[in-house]
Amino acid sequence: MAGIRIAAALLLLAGAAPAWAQDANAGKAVYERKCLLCHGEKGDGKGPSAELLLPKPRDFTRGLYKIRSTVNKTPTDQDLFRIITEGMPGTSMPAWAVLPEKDRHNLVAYIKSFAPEVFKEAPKKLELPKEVSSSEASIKRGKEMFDAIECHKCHGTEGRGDGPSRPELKDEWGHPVAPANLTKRWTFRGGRARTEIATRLANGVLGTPMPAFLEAVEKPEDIWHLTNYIVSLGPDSPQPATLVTVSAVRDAIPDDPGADFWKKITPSNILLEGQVIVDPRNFNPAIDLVSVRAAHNDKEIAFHLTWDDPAESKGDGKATFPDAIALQFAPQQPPGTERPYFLMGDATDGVYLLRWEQGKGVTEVSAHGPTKLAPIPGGEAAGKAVFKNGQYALVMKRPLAAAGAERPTFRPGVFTPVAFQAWDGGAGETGPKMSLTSWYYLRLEEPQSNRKFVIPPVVALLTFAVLGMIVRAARSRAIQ
Amino acid sequence: MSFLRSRFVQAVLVLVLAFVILRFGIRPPAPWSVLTLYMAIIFMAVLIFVSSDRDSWRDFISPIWSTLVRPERRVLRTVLVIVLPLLMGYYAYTQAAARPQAPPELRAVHPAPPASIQLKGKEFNISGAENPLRKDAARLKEHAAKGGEIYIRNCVYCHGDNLDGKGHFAPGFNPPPANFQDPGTIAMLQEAYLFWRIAKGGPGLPKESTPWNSVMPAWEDRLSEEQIWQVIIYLYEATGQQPRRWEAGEHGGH
Repeated sequence: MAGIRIAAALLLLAGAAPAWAQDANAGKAVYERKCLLCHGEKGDGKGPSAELLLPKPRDFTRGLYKIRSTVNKTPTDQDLFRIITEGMPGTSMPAWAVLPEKDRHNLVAYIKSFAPEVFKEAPKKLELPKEVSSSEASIKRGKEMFDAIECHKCHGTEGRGDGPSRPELKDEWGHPVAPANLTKRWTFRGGRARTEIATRLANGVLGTPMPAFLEAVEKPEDIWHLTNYIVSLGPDSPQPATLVTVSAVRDAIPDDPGADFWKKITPSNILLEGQVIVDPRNFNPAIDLVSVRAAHNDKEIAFHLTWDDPAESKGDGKATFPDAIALQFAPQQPPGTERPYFLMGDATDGVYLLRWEQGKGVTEVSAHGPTKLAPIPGGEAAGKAVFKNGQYALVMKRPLAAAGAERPTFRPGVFTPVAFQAWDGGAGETGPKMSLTSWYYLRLEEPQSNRKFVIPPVVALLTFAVLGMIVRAARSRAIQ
Repeated sequence: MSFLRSRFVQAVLVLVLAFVILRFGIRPPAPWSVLTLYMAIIFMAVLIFVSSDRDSWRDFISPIWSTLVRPERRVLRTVLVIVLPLLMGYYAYTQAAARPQAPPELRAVHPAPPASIQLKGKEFNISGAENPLRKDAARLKEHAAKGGEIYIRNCVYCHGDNLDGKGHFAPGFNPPPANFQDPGTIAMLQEAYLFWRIAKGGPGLPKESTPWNSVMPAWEDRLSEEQIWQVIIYLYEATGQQPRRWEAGEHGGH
């Protein structure tokens, strides 16, 4: 790289046409095909899709870049190349690794040409302190620093992006900007790798309220302790499930979402996406993941759901609404694989919703479309929700057997279609403005199945007997 | 290398080699059900080969026979009689203890379109229909640009900026959104087919496409007839694919 740069500099000195001018022209053609619809013809981030997106597409005319490996405002060409190649997780910027490498280099040259004055200043590379590998002591030190430099003010006590300053945060353009949810590393805009996290901590995220902390921490290596603490907050990827297994238990199922009982069950992570079919459409859903645990005994079935929501909202009825979540089932186990329309059914085929709403508690609802909801009388469901540090934990319970044709009956061993819907009322989500899933499967474990202990020995004994008989038969023939 | 002349060793080698090639030589890996089928066919073929004449068969059977009866092979015999049942038992355990997987959903990927659909109260013929916007070649670029705007405001969330079905909503949905870059999608379909799928979406799929898990909206509610044709032009223009043409006298699906 250094060699190429020197060579380029020599060419410039020699008065030859700058190598990148040609590249920028080639980059323009790629830009117009691939980037223009979001970033706009003038590079001002005002393409035809911009108004629907959050975060907004980058405005290249300001030359202000969030993700950079430098201590000044100028990113390196490699920084820009990396973002084009890997995209920005958690935003609408996809990874353009599909484009030929040359095209991506040309794009860098073209994008820089929107703000040539910014790139007059040479990028000054950040020197990260010597890496400290993760350990219990390092994580502890990181947590101390997390409190000392007040990360919690924006990112929240447990890092879910629910800090008290959250509502006031604005970026350089005046758009509201959400602090990162540190427990969801896969949504980190600049990548989830340790070096990336340490770099963001050290030199901040330009154009956003996230400052550079390299000078603010006590010792430079605290950057790595903080990194280790942040990495300890959550998994590397959401590991999405397609099947929710309902554990069979003998005892009573606790109502308390914080009970140890629930911690023993492995959660299934379900990804939720925006509802964009009926108005109002939700292009930027607030809730992207629900963790589901479920258990049943011979009488009832219970669902334990956890999901992140930056603020508990009861709703003022104008701009904010009550937070809510729903599990959707077909009222009757459908014949074959047919099932009602995933978006809360339609006029002919309705769905059953087991629904919790802030202030209302758990209700059972029959729906014939996203706006046609009718409560089912004679409530059989109950539940309890707890909100703490940017996360809801909820238990919803219901008898296994149903009363009436509008409610499903749950049977062990059957693959039952299930779908999920969630509303962050604080973000203005209500009615069709929600996040949702299409149909997944739910399966109730058969109670105390012992087949895995009975079948293998039987198979082994049978094989042994057959082999023994073959050997005996062969030997008796050999003797004859 | 005299042992290579043994029919038994040859048979085992052929089976092992075939398995290694099928298991590791095919990318992406073939499912186990297919492997099992192929291996069964190869096993039969090997049996036919070794039993083709009397000497060959005797040659094949002799190591098995001697292991079963010869006194000096007693140790090997005992080990086999103990190890084989244990292996079978272990296999049965892995099958019995496996966590159940969600059932696979078989569906027709490109179901046959209806001959005609109802569009905003009027009859619209699918079979034989051409994209009316292609008649005026001068305005094609303009239509593609308009189609791009429609795409980026409506379709991009699932089908992705690169039209490869990897939009940011895509990870949450099964079946996954169509990948238009794949030569198996729009390149092998007529534009009228796309018109039908865009206009009627998941809810308009025929019976053979149950379980109707497609989250594709019915865009007739949101886009005009012309807008749908424009976005179709954009799909072909942006991916560099060509639509399939109607064959002379072709009516109905394929």
